[in-house]
Amino acid sequence: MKPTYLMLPTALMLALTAPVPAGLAEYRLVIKNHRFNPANLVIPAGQKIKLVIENLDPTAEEFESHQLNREKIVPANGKTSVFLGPLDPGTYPFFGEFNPKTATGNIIVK
Amino acid sequence: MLSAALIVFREVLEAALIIGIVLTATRGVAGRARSIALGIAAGIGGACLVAYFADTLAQAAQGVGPELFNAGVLLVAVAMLAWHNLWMVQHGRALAKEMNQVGQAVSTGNRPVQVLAVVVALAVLREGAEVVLFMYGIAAAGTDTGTLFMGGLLGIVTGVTVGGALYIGLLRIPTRHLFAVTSGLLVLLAAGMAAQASAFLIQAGLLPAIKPVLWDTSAVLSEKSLFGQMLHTLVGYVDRPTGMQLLVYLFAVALIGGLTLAARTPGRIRTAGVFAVATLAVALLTLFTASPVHAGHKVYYPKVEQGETEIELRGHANYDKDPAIDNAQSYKIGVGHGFTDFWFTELYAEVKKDAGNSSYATEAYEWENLFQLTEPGKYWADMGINIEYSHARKSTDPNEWELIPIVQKQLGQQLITLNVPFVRETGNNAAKKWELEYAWQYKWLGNPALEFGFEGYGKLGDATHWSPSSMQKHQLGPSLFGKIKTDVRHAWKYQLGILFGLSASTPEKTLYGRLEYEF
Repeated sequence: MKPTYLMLPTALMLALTAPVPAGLAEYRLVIKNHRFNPANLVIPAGQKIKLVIENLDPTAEEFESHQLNREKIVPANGKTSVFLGPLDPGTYPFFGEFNPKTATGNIIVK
Repeated sequence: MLSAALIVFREVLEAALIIGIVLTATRGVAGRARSIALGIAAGIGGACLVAYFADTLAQAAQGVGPELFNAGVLLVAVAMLAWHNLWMVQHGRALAKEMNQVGQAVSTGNRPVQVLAVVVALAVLREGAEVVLFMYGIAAAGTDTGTLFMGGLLGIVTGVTVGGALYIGLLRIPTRHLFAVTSGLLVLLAAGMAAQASAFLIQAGLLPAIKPVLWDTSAVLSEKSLFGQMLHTLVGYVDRPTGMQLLVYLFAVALIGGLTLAARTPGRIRTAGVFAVATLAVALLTLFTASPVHAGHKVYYPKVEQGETEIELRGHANYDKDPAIDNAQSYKIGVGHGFTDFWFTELYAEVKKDAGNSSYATEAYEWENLFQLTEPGKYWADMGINIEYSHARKSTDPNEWELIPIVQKQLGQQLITLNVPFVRETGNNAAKKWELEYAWQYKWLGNPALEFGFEGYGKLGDATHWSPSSMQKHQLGPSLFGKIKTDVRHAWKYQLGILFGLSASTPEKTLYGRLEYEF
């Protein structure tokens, strides 16, 4: 029995789930009439942020961005949060999966 | 006989519907009955003329050899059927409207009653000419004249009956549904004809068989039996198909079926094209290629989407100089659903073909449970775990548990994912130890429709006691990925990749692919 082989993945897993440092910057997005507000949200580069998405519509929406690799359901009249970054400067488009024509926007990283 | 009946039924019904529309629109116009009857007669006469010349043409073409001639006729019939299906879907409604307008124009006296005869004659002629062509196709596929005649007669009688009943109002089937069903049947019929054409071309030495006998189900359902023959003519069932036949069949179904569907729902042409290409790719992959390293060439992501349903087909085939592992194939087909925002479950059936064996068999049923453990982006890396249980169909084969911890890290546009499966066999002939495997993926997040990356898979042996490096299995190679949205919450996902074996006990090349439909 060579315990080292099992210890490696165990240690890795413990390290990976280390708690998030407190005090993450929070940003807000509001969905109303199948539109995001603000449609362009500026966030700082190289920093992890917490994006709180609030849905004021009576129908569910899904926040989706391929570039950001995120897909998250926002329940009707509810809210959810998505963690982003750290990101390089640039423009990262996102859209509402259920109303892709109207619900569009960009995360602008500066 | 049934295929002849189906085609004639469909054509006669179409003609009958057109006549019915004209009759309805001209109710009370003097002399309409005579005009319409004249039109029908002229149409039938014209169709007979077409049939006569078709026969002369056929005589002349006999010179090229029966295989080639038959294949040619079949392929023309396939093309016509495909075109016909598409045309009906696209223009059926417009046609009905136009007929109505002509009818009304005659009613109000704007146009002479003789116009009716011409309209009806053209409609009957067109349908009749199609019947002739399709009948040649069926005859080329090897049905004798007597049965063909009986089938045609059956088709005429049912077509006129249904058409008449619809006109009088006895039958209130929405014609839309009727056409949808017959359209579907015609797609399969056309695909069967195309496969038959490929069989003729293989006979003539113009096409490779790929595999002489892909499977043999003659013991279960012989092509010669009554039911087998029925299935053969209607949907193209063959008890001992060649690889090429299946390939052609699948491709024809995907292409014609896809295009027909696309025509019904405008703006879906691209989906149909992608579907056809993807089917062709998967079919090619499966046929030209083959278990060895797990059936699962899939790197799992630690992400679950609530409410998403997915139908998945994946497979791989190995190539090697060593016949003990060459051309082994494995496919999984599954249906899954995300019940909560952290749990996605999927059921699979696994079909395998071992190296040196030509038959496919269902090997196992699998239950997969993917858990998302962390909120994406919250921690330094995202975590998940997949717990799979695979139940072997044969009691002599071991069952299997797989625990797969999943770690994913995003660095800007780069996505790195690692799966570490711990595999344990249980039941009869089980290895009774935990074996360690790995699977990783590097992907560049670019255009969602086409992305590029690398994947690697390996088996290290006993989890606490790795095998010597020559016995370990390591594979590495490039992959293409993509997701094509067809509608709100509807998307096709695909992956195509090739893996190169890095150790002696690994197949030299493994081709693998995955096709998913999400909704």
